Amino acid sequence: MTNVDTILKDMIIIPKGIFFRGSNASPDEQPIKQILLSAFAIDKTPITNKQFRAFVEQGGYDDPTFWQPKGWAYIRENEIKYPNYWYDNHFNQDDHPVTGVSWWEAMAYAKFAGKTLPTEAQWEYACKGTDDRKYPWGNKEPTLAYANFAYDCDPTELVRSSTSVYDHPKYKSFFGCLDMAGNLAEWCLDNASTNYKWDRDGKDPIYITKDEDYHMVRGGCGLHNEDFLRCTARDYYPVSVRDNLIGFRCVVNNVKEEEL
Amino acid sequence: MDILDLPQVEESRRMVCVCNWSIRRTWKGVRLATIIEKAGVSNTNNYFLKQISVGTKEKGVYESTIPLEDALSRNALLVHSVDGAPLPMEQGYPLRLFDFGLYGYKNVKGLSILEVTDIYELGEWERRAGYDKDGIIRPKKYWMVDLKGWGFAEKPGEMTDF
Repeated sequence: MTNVDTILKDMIIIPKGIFFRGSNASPDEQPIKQILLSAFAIDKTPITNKQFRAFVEQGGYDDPTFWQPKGWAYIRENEIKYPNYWYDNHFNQDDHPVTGVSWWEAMAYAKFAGKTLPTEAQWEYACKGTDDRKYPWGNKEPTLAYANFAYDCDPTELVRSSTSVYDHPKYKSFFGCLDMAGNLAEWCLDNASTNYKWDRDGKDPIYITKDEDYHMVRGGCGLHNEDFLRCTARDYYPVSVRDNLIGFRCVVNNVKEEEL
Repeated sequence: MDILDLPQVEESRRMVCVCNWSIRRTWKGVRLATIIEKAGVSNTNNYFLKQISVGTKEKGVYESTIPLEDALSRNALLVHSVDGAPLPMEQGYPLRLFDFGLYGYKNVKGLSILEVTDIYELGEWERRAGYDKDGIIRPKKYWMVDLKGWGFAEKPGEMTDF
């Protein structure tokens, strides 16, 4: 395999396209706008603990070249050497999504893998495609058979666990991604915004203020209710958060036509 | 000094969890301002309030530090009762400081000690999971447990619109 083949393994290539981003369900998802996206490739699943282990074992936490300066300072100051739930058997199974990772750690892993994080628009397009579905699997209302989430934001178990990224294979997103809704929310490249008024032209949109400012997450988690499972639902957290709510998947941009 | 011997207030206010849910309840207790005055603290600028919990064998002692002047300006309460009954254990029995402009993680349950300090320390949830030291409620969508619906907070700080 070529290097490109290796990088694109287990990724879904999404051709350039047009879709409507946002919804009328919540003020932060408005205004609804037509978006034009260039082609990109996105991980089929969130990064698993097994995948992240390569970063840990190959010295990712000791190599500043993978880190943004403020991210490097953050992990050095806090003596961080592995994800926050690395030794917690509720979250550390090989095929579960890695969690307890700050935005800095997600970015460092992405660089290590030759990738980056998705923009919110990329994530949403990968989730709902062009048919304006409500949830990644379609329009059927969620049950626990569809995703790991909490009715009324009230988990049934006091000590929650993540689930395998392959636990709900029947419910692929429009483009075939797995585990986009529930289980863990996913870090995005965009900084936090409370609506889309910042987006003027709708072409490969991304909202950037500062690396250290709050960043968007998508997809909901095992602690959040069904509303967060919607393809258009948004949330955001400080870049330092290492709670068991957030994981991530990666993208590759500038995908060439011959790779499609 | 017994908390119950001090002037009591009862207020309907909304507490917000960093995990995106919220609940409006009627809280009864004593204004933080009353306690600070009784303690003889006159200069509150640039000081902080460190809360230390009673602690449990399983979870240990929790700490949280918040800016004192901000808490006073937001009419923080030392709460012992909610909706006419003593605070339940899961809400922080026997006493919990509530600064309603901050997420719940900044208000330790089972309050044991309040210290006025000039050191702004990291608390339990900032150390454990990287949450913000300031803990100010952010403008975003919250599940309103009491209303069984969603509300969108338009501005940072205490939620008063719902």
